[in-house]
Amino acid sequence: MPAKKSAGVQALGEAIRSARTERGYAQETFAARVGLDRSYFGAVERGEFNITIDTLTTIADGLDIRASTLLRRAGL
Amino acid sequence: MMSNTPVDDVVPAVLVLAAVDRAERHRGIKVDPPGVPVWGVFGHLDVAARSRRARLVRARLDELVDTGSLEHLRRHGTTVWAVTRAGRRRLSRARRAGRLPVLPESPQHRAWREARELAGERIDGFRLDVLEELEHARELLDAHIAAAEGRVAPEVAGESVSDSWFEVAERLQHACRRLGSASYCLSEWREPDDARADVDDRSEPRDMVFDRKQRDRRFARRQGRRNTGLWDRDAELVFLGQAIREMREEQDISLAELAGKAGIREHRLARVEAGSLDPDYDLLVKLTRALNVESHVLMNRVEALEQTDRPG
Repeated sequence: MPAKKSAGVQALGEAIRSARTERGYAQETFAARVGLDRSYFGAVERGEFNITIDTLTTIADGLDIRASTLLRRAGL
Repeated sequence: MMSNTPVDDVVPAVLVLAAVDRAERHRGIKVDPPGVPVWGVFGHLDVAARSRRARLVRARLDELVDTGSLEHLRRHGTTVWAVTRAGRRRLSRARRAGRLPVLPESPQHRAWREARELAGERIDGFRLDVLEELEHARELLDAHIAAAEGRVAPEVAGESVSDSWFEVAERLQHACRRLGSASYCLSEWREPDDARADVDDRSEPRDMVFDRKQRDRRFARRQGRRNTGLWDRDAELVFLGQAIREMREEQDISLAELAGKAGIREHRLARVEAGSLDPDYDLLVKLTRALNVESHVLMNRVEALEQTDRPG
């Protein structure tokens, strides 16, 4: 149920979106690449889902970036 | 100077000094400033962190500082203990005079022994798992060949042909990696020498006949070969749990204390540390705040552990 919207989760979603667009991936293409549902991934980027660490590392691997770098970019 | 009170019989100062010395030697990586945290000393004395003996060890550490055998320093906000020159001389004298008490089994030897025992118990089951996955792959291949020849319909309802092969590949890879790791732990991992750190650099003597690229591939394949925790659990979560536990121990906080500070139940934290619970971001933040570090610092530690494969 997407309802969390904590500042940290939102910042993380923004960092993921920023890293994805830097690499030129469309949202749908990237979601398919890492095996996530497009609407779920969209909600992650909007900071509506409190994602698990496993999902975070899956996304980071797909972006070829470290999970710690995503967190640092999000100021977390 | 050792006294003869009953307390000294339980934890002699020279034994604590020898434990700090061995803990420094077994660390395997150079750190600045040198020294080991108190939980590292406990590990070499086989002392539980919250026990009466642990309090005695702490008292001994302070005494050893007072007598100049140890110095305490601060590293990343944690107190660490290092043997001084005077401490080394004292250890040498005790060794020569035959007064050096025997330390309990070292953590690195325990890790080796336990991995070997566990591998011995489970390797037959792992061989059967590989066999089962191979048979499954064979059945799938037969079904797809039959379907391609128009003899029978494919039996993989709801799955595309490609997905069913990807799934087989994933399961077979896991089964083979587990068997490889158990084989290594059972018969290839050499017994650690107490004189030096037993760190898996993933190299083997025969690697030298290969070129650089092939060697790198062989090193990468061996990643995690000593870590029995990976046999049944997700590697990422195992390392996350290990990183949290290390940070907690470095700050000398008990599981219950950290759970209390983070506002979560103790058994939930225990599951995270065991690598059996995939925490969501909010839970991670609760833990990192309680540990007084930023989330990316914790993830950095996780990634470093993945690189070095230090057994938990």
